[in-house]
Order: sequence, then structure tokens, then C-alpha cells
Amino acid sequence: MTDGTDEPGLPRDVTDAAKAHLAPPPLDREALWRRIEAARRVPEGGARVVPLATRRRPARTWAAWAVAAVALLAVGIGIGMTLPRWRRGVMPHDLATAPRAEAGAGVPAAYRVTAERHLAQAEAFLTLFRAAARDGRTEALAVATAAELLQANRLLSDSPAADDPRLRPLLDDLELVLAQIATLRGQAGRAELDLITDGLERGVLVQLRAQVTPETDAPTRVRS
Amino acid sequence: MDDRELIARVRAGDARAERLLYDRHVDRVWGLVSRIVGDADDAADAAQEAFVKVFERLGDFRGESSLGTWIGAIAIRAALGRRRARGTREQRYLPLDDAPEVAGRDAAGDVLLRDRVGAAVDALPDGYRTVFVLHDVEGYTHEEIGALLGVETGTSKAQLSRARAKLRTMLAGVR
Repeated sequence: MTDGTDEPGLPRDVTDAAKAHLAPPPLDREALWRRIEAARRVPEGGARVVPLATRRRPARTWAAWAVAAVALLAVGIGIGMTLPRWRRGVMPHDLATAPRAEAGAGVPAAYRVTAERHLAQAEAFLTLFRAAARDGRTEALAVATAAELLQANRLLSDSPAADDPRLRPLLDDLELVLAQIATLRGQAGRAELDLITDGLERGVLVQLRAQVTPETDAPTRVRS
Repeated sequence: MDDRELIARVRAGDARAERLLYDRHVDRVWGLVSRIVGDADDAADAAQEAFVKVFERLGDFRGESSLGTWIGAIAIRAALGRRRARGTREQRYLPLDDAPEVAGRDAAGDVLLRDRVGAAVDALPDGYRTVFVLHDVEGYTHEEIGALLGVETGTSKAQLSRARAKLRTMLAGVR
């Protein structure tokens, strides 16, 4: 086989070995579709924060709290991503070349505080969601809140906060769960809800509760 | 439903048509991105990114190529982006001078040949590797590769020739 390259092709056993080495892993079509749908719900660029005044009055108190918390969190992340460096005299146009914080203790305080609040709010939201899901209830607002928490989670994942090796895997796991909830459509089926809540109880909620402890003067504190 | 009708429905916001488009093309996209990226997690990221862009940009599709070719080109760009990002992050892909030792075919013979060929393929520069994967593994013609990558047919042929030459050098002691 020359294929217009003026040379013979590779021996068949080599080509076969290459094909075997490069064989695609099994594809989970539904999981990939859910990821695509979740990603399409989150616009590119900044956090999508719907002004609270334009929201319809929520039917449940917990959901209203979650929406407000997410809105504040998104603003906090935005401020946190610029303010600390400005204070050190680094102008916005230098941000792309500014050195990133070292992992763990080197994470700037603004990011750490924002991450702590995000984890606490995610933990509260998931706890309430799980309780609602056990009763077979899901609401559009819960889906929207999950989508906004997902956006905040991605902002944090792209910030120096994720340099903390304790936070990175937690943010990754949280993203998967939030994406699952954000892609629920209409009244989710029992099996679908069970799948999410089982995952919550065995994984993310346990990790969140291990990281988050309440304090009197701050919403949360990440354990060192 | 043919592609033209499918595209029209997706552009109109028909959720079922979006899923149908996904179902028709996901296997091919998955094969492409998996082979180019070489890692299941990064492949999933690349496939997700590709389909998000497909849906975002379908309004710009003018039918100058087939829908499959257009989607394939987007998938390949997404996969190459992931591969570059991972290479930067992990310094995983070595220069050819540092390529793994692949000489010597031991008693395991064919069992180890795959690993050695795989190591050699993974050590190819991205440009060579991509054309090699598309031509010798996926079975695309140089004309199709040119359309997928946006390069001249001659460029595809040259890249394949160089890829094969590198592989022969690295596998010289194996066969």
C-alpha cells in the first residue's frame, strides 16, 4: 500500500497493534448526553445570575435561600478573582501572567473564603435536594439552582482555590452531581432520583461534611 | 429524516432532533476523539466540547461539506486542544529523542508488540500522530483528512510519510 506517499505502508501486524492500542473505550451515551446538556445550560463567560427581583416568588423557602446564596457566591468569586492581586499592585492586564498560588496554604484568603462558602452552600442545597427527592419531588427552581451552583463550581475550579489538593477532587465530584441535577427535566423518574441520591449519600455529601464545619462568625471553615 | 431536515429542526430548537443528531454522530465522534486524545476522561471532555460547539454553530453550517465531515472537523479540533492541554499540564508526551525504548521482541511476542507500538505511536508529534490515526487506523483518505484538518492533501501525505518513518525507526528492533 503506497497511498501516494511513495513508500510502502507499515506491516500489517504493526498497524493491527496500533489499532488495538487505540481502540476507543466503551462509550456511555447517556452519560455523555447528560454532560452535553448540562454544559449547554451554562453560558460561556461570566456567571449567569438572574436578578432576584425578576424571579417569580419561589414556592419553597429553601429554594429561595439557595438562589440568593448562589447569586452572592457568584459575585464573591468575581470579586475574589481580581481584588487580591489589585491590592498587591498587579493590574488587570497582568493577571494572565501573574504567578498562581502554591497548593494548599498558598491559596489567597479571598479564594479560600469563597470556596468555604461555596462548599457550605452546596452541602445545604444537596441535603435539601436529597430530602425533596426522597419524596419524589423535584422543582424547576432546584434544577436552576443546581445549574447556577455548577457555574460557580466551574469558576472556582478555574481559580487558584483549586490549587488546594483537598479541594480539587471535591470540586470535581461536586461538578458531576450538580450536572446530574441540572439536567433533570420535568418530574424526574424515581430511578433517576434514586441514582442521584444514592450517589449523594455514598460520595459527595460525605466528603462535603468532612470538609465543612460550622463556626459562629463565619458560615463555614474548611478543615486543615 | 435526512441531514437537511435534521439541521433545520435542530436550528428551530427541536430537542428530539438534537438528540437524533447526537445519536447519529456520537459513535464516530467518540472514535475520533478517543484515538486522538488517548485517554478516556479527556476524550469525554473533548466529545462534550465538540457537541456543544456543534449545536452552537450549526446555524453557521453552509453545507459545503457533509454534516459528518463538518462535525468530525470540530471533534478533531476539540481533541487536539485537549491533547495539547494535557501535554502542557503533565509533560506526558516526550520528544522523539526521549521516546520509550521499543527495541527487542521478547517471548511474549505479539502480546507486547501492541504496547510497544502503542508507546511509539504515542511518542509521535501531534501532527504526525493525528494523520497516522486518521489514515492508517480510521481509514480516511488523504482528501478526507485534508477536509477534516483544513490542510492540503499533500500535507496529509507528507505527515503520514514522516509518521511511518518515525515509527519504523522506533520499532526497528521489534520486527
